[in-house]
Amino acid sequence: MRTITCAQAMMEAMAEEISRDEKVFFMGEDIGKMGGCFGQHFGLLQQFGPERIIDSPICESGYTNFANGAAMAGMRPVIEIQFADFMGLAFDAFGNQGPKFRYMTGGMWSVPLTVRAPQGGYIGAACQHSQCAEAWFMNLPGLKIVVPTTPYDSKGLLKAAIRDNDPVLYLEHKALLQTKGEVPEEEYIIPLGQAKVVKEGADVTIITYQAMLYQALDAAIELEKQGISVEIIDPRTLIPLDLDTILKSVKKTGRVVIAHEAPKRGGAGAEIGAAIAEFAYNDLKAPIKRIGALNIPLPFGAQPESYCLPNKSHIIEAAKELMNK
Amino acid sequence: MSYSNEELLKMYKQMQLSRIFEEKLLQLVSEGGLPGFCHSAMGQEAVHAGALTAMGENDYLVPTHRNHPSLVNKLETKKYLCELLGKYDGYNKGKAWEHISSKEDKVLPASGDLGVGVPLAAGFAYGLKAQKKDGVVVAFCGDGATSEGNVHEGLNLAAVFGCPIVFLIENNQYGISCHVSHSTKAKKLSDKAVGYGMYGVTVDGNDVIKVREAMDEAIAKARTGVPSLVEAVTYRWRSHFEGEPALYRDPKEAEEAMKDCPIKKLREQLLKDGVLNDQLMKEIDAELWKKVDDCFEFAKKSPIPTKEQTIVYDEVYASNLGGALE
Repeated sequence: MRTITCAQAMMEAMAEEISRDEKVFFMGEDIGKMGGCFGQHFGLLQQFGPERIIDSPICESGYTNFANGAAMAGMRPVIEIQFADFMGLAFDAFGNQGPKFRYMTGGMWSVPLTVRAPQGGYIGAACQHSQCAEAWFMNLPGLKIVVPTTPYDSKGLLKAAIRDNDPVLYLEHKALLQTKGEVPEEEYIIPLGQAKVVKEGADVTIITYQAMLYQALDAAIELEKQGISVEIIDPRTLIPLDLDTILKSVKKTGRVVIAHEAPKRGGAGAEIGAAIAEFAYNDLKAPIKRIGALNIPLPFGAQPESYCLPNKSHIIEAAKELMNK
Repeated sequence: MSYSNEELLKMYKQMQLSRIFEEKLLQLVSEGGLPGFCHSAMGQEAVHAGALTAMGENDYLVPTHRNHPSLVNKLETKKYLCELLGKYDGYNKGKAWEHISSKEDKVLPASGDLGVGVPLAAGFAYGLKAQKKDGVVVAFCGDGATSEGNVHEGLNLAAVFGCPIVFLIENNQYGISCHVSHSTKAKKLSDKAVGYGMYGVTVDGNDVIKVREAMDEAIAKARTGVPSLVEAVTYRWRSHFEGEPALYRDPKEAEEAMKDCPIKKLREQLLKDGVLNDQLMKEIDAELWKKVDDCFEFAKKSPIPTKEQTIVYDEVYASNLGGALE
């Protein structure tokens, strides 16, 4: 099978969906002429023209509300918030408007909007260009959250998000844009709400996604050398959360490490861990371990950042502790 | 511009229906019969009637929370009242309250956050244009909300993308307690249009004909993809919500302002011109009172939603993958 990057996979998803459905348009800051802040959208404007690929003035709240309105008028907008950190500026539009309209109107209107927002650290860009935003939105009913990791998932989940009839937050990871992986030529979609068993194992379940998933894969190699068999689960979407796949794994291993890059306090891992404790307490052989960043605004530069973000050594340590090793 | 007798009477009836509806509603509020807050638009009827009668059947309305004069006319009155009372026979099954909407009647929900309706309406108008659908959007906005960043962003986006829309700033001079003179140093709110390269005009919001003329012109522009901003200056007769004592303003100021009643103004003109006479006036009032009484009777009997009608998965998510509700 051919190998492409996450950026290429998402580009293909966009091009396929914009070609397939004339109601899909893409709007954001610097996505057209510039081709995106990381060049990841370059070529879309040339292929589809300025009516489908719309460079917006700089106003995250304004164009997110604008997209809510366009979605209610029958369009299927995809918008980009250039850095997920800026989602704060669009918080009301995406958290308090779009996901509320359906319920508030007794099911009369729906808002088929996809918000793409590159997130994550490991690029040394300091605290307002490096955060993971998934947990900010987990407490808001009415929306969905996608955290894609591989090129294959990035493409299939983005296509599902665009075809979904609800507001979807699609948080791609900046540091993974150039990560390569196998992606078939033929079209496919990955339904939202299906976790993936990335690797099977018997002793410890590691639930993780995005940059930390690659750290977990590295950790697994070292752990297995020490006789600890690791199962890795990628939830792929946090709302909806595929708890069945997670609980099945917990039942098998009885030991859980949840690892994400966002700060540990109030992170998505707290929700996942609480759900495991609630529904699979009797399957647990040891307390649930959570791994996340320190509760600190990320410092500038790769080295200082590395003191604050989690990495594979944290995962190895946690797994060994669970095994009393 | 001159309007036919039929048009003039239509404006009069719309304003009078709202006044009667609100009188009855305020009575209910004083008896404790309304959940939530009641934001009266008494005294502001001309702004709504001028806008509503200028709109065509394909045009959309984005109201604010202070929407009685528009929606009592644009929507079926009894279903509208049911929604205000949180009853299941309301347009949104009692879930929306003042944030009521009706797709069929081309009314979008009024947001609970001020100013959000402006960029939302701009985007909706953009969506109509992109799909080559007929129709323009008339988006209401209060004077208080014009300080919101979203209003600035929405006006700018509408201008940049040539959206078929009219922004109608209903300047009732108060954002809750904040007088417009403390909201902005602009002499007129329509001056703000200059900053967006947009056409802007200020009219007497208590003169329905003046509002109508401005809206006719602005809507005609919107149909060619040119957005504009109309400011209609009026006065909020009541407090922000019923029961709030409005300690921040001199009662004499309100008393003085209420002398300029938009309904009285039109009525006197119509009586003078022979469009209206005492007999016709009585007939209109009797017809409107009957309509309002009937709708209050209907709403009284309508049930509040049950638990099953409240916790409805399909009303939270449009597609069946939203995760559990509990």
